[in-house]
Amino acid sequence: MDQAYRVLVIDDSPMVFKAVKRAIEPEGFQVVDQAFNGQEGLEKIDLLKPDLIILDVTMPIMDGIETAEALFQKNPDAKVIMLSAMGDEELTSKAKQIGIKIFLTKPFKPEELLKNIRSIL
Amino acid sequence: MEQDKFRFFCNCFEDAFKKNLAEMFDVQIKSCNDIRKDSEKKLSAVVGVVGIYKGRIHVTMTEDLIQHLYESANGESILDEMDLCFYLAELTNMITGSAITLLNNNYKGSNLRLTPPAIFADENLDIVTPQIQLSSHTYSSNYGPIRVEIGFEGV
Repeated sequence: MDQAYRVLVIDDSPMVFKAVKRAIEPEGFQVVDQAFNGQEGLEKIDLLKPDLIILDVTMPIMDGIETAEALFQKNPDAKVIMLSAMGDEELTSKAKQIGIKIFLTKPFKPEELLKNIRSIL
Repeated sequence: MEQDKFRFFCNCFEDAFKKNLAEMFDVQIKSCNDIRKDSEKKLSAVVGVVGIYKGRIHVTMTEDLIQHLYESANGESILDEMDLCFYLAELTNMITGSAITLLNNNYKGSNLRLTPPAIFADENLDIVTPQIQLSSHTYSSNYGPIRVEIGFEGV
């Protein structure tokens, strides 16, 4: 079983939050909280100091790209997996430009998410 | 929007629905008559699209179908109506995202993006927007019908 790394999910979908929990908690990861937009996400990152952030793109108030830009400015070593229903070349290229190393499209397979989490941590 | 381009947009969304339902849930759909007269309880989700073109995708499904799709993907049942709404929103989001990916890769610079979904619980919901090109499609499946309405600002 994996070390109890702490994971924050920043996604406005309760269903995605449940799916991530279901995929990774049996493997020993601890999903500490959900934030419903990027602004809330940045606040919870400061408060909870998670080891990993799973970050959606399309969210109200502050989207995933803006959130990642703000996060990497403060902490260039932050571990972030971006998750999105869209996966076009412009978006993935933009994500890579701002420092996102792993970009997964929804729907994700649990084993694919786990593999990527293990590779980034 | 030119008619040919609008037709291509609609085909992308239709194909995304058919492909994702088949691959994710092993559910086959085929065109049928309007489902609005069907008496089963339905939910609707609307996802907006912004970018060089603006539009919306409006999906209506019966609660039974949404329940079946959830069970198929997650191996457990949804117990409350709120979760049914959230799941329909997420499904609509994912399938629309799949179509948008294809459109953006085909039309570089379109920068089409999704807006967060809105959910409605209504028997027969019509959304009327002036100056929008609209294409409606209804499908049947073994678990319940689906109505998909694709609208984009056009000529």
